[in-house]
Amino acid sequence: MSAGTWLIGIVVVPAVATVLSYLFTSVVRRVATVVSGLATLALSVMVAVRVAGGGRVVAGTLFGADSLSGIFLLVTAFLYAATAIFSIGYLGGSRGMGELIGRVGQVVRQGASAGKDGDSEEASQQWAVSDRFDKRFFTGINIFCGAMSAALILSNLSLVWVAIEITTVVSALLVSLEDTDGASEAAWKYVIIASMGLGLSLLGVFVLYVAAAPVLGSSHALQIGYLAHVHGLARGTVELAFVLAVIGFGTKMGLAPMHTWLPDAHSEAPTPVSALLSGSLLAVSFYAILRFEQVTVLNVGNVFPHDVLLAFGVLSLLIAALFLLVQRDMKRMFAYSSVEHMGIIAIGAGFGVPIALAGVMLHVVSHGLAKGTAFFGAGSFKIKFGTKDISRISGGLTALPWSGSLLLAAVAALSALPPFALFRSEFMIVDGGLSAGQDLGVVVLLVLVTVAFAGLSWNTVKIILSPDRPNGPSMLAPGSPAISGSSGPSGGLGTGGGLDAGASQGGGHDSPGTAVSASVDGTIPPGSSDNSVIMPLEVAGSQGLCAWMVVPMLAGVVGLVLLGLHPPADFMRLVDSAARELTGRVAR
Amino acid sequence: MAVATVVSSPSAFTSIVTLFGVGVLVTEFLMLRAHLLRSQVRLYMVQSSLVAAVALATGIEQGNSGLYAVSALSFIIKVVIVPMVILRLMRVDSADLSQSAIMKLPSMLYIALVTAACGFFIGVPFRTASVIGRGTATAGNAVPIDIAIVLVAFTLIVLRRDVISQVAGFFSLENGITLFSISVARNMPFITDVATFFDLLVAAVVFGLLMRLHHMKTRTLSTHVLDRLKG
Amino acid sequence: MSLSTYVVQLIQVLTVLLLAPLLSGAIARFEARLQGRRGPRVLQPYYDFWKLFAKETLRPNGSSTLFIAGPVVAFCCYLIVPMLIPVLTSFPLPLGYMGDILGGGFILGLGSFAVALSAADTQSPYAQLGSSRAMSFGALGEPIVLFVVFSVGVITRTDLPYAMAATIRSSGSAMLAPAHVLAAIAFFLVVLSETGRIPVETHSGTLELGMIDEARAFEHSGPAMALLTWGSAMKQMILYTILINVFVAPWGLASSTSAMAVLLAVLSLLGKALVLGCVFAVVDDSFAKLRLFKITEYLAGSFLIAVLALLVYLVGVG
Repeated sequence: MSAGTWLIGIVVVPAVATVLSYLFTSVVRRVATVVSGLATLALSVMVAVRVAGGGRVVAGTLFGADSLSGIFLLVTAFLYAATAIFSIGYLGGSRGMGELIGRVGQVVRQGASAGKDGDSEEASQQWAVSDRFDKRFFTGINIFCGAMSAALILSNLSLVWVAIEITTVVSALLVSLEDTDGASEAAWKYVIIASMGLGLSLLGVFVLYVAAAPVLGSSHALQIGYLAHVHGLARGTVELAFVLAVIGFGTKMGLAPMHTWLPDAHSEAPTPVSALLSGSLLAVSFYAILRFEQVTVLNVGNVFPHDVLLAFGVLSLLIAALFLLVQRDMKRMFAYSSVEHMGIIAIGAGFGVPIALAGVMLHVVSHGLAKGTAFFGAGSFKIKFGTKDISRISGGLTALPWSGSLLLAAVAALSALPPFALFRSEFMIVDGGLSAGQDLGVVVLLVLVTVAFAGLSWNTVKIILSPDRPNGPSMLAPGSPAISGSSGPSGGLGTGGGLDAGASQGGGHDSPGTAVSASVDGTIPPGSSDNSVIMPLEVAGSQGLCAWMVVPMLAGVVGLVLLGLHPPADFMRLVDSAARELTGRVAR
Repeated sequence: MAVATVVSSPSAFTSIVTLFGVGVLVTEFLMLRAHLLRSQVRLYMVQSSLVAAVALATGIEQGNSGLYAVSALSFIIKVVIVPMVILRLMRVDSADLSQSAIMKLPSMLYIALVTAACGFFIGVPFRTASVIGRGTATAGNAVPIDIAIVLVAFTLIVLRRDVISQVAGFFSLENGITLFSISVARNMPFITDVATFFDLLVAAVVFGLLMRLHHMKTRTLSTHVLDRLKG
Repeated sequence: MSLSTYVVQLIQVLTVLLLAPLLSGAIARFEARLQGRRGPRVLQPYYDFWKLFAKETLRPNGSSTLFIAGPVVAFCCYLIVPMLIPVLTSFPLPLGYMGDILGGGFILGLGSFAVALSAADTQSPYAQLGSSRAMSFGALGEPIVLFVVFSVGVITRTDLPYAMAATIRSSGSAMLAPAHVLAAIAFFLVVLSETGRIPVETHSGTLELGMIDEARAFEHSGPAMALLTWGSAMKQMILYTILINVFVAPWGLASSTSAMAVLLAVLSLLGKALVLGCVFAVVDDSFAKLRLFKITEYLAGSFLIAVLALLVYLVGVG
């Protein structure tokens, strides 16, 4: 099988999984998604190894990948696989696992709930509602990841734009999936702001075409393979295209001041989606910016593009560091941490020397691993404690020994503590900044990173290490009213209950929170209109968190340690060649 | 006028194409004041027809068959399908949007006018470059207008706080970009256009779904209520 | 037979003076027909003037000579403007250099001002309402006219209305130049509001609260009233003439001073003005009147188009 076929496989596999998820039952959905995630990861690793030494793998004129694509493919595919696995646990582990064994579990559950309810019709409707959620979720995840992978390996810049816009709309639907007020608000802000930004970047793509068409000819003008080595484009036009692209794709990447959608979307989305948004979607947008930067550096020189990136990077880092200090919501906190890291990445790219760029590449990958892990951890906590509010969670380590410690590790990684890969990457970026003579930038970077570190670690330590307060509303206790109101209506519990607001019988639009507090002990109160909320709770309340949720986190942390202590040689070759690709010093 | 000296007595064709472009800009301004969902959608349809007309006229002038296809696709997708999808999904087609403006209409018009003026002057060097670089460029002539359209669409999204106007703003933003691509990017690979249109369709469906969700949740089309998430 | 240019100059003024009531009458007739009424005779305005001139002039208590002077000044203003604009000839007549298009605008403005002043002098609430409204909307309308004039000015590099018409006659594509089209539309909208047409004002209405221009004549009677009505008919004709002969259709003008050519020019002007009048009547008939405070929106819209015209030209696309 040639390398070109691998590229096509990276697009085709998620497409097949999408179709399967849409057409078949939840068992097939889960199997298909996990298999597709793992297969994409395998294919991506193969492609990455192939391009590690530089050069380009192509499949027709449509697809092509170089070392730059390889880096981003790795992180996207890893998160795809990890999210697929995590989602099985997240969307009601017992049901998922039961079905993987056989459909017995489902039948038992249905029988049990029907028995408790005394109303089998309602129980079956509940199942149907949840199934709809389930179907949308997995179908959406597959399209989302497929589009992100496609964006990384498409050869034509305008098609890259199309793929990224598809990721926007699909992920907006995923954000709105939990059907809470907050989710629909977040989804709306996200889709409008991101689409406006992407509109600008489309303009940027066309402007670049205008610049490149006279030199490359109209059919090659937007082909990445050609753009990466072209010289002699009109200076002003390329500069305009670059600025438009940075603003446009920067909106999607979460660069301040266009980042305003990001905390909302990341905190209101279902947690697996948050992980994908934060870990890989931001990276994919950054990839698009890098493609523009490549051309700009070749034709305008270093100073202009790097200054632009530095400015946006410093601003993002500043805003994120300040907001990290005051966050009350766990997922929002991680969202701002994403803004912070995108800022670091932009600054690193702004330093523009090979060592800093290699650091940026490493940072992208390790941020993906760490942020994915962190969000998975946050999701586990949300299920366990029923809230995302930091002040209401404590004693995490006793409640969730595995997830808690892994989350702690992920946060340590995000704070760039030594054994983890982000320490290495930030070190490289700082090193690069010093060697590029950007002393001021380095100082700003270090100060702000420290501030961010303080906010992030203080909040997390509070969640995980502080002793469990016996009387406080720390754990989800039966009937505790504080919880139902804690993070908005059904904020923490909407996984299964997503789409039933419109479809529920009887009670109609009463606050889902009441149903939550009434049903925390796993029994179904008669007359509750919000039955489907119960499913994840049963998982949380009665069985504890399952292996499906721990394994991806473990994989993330192991990856972080590995990349931090002793990165594989092939990987470092890949990083170096991607950095060379960006400086325009590629041996052709 | 220094900027005006590059005008070399434009042909009637150029004038018509530019005039259609100006028409698109004027519909953009009209969107600022549209009070009904239906009228907003109709304005978008008119605007898209004008875009299709520009594509057709430019195609005829340059003998570029790709532009014929772009014109036809624009018409089918933007004038027929996208409005249909939006209206189908919304099902409240006479909703009143008049409260959604954040300021009085004349102020909005003046702000939009200043924005458009900025767009015009941003576009000038571009246009000059394209004219000098490639001889007479009928369509390249309209670049300042295209950029003005994009910026006014931005203004629309910012100044109107209702989902319909914001979506109309996004789609008309896209119209401006389409005009831009017709203007400057001749012989653009056809796949680009097709992909963009496909993307537009997906976006229309998703926007429609989200608008409906919003309407179901809040019983209003206004986005004033979206103030829960902050910090 | 060739006429002296001064004679032609005089004929220009007389054309406007004498044909304006005819135009008003014809439009009123057409409008009535549109609404399914029989309508007044086309010559009705002449009969009205005849009747009014035979009556005495009544002055409200406390009014000054301004009350009588206003209509006279306005009438004179409307007699001066036709000398400055291309009414009949395609070449400038001797007095055409007396003032440029801005000058013409100022004189028209002076006319409105005189009428408003005399209305304010009556101390009647409705007339004062009318004059204050007319002044405030006039203040908003003024920038539009200015911008239209500016865009005409920068396009033709002159401020003479004759030159503008000549530019348009010279090539068909100049008609389609976006700047020109926009300026023409803006001017059309201004004419609509200046002649008291829907959507700004119901010119034939009897509801005082919605009135602007009409309310100003409330207290006048006899010859003064006749001068006012005649004056506004002339103003309408002048605005139509500018719209036609400068912007929309500067064809059919006399290119020499021969009597035949001048006669033809008079007829063609009348024909074009009638067609335009019908267009206005149709517009009048098919829209609803705007609420008073929405008129600012209308004027803002027209202003926007006028500015766009200038911008489009300045950046060189039109």
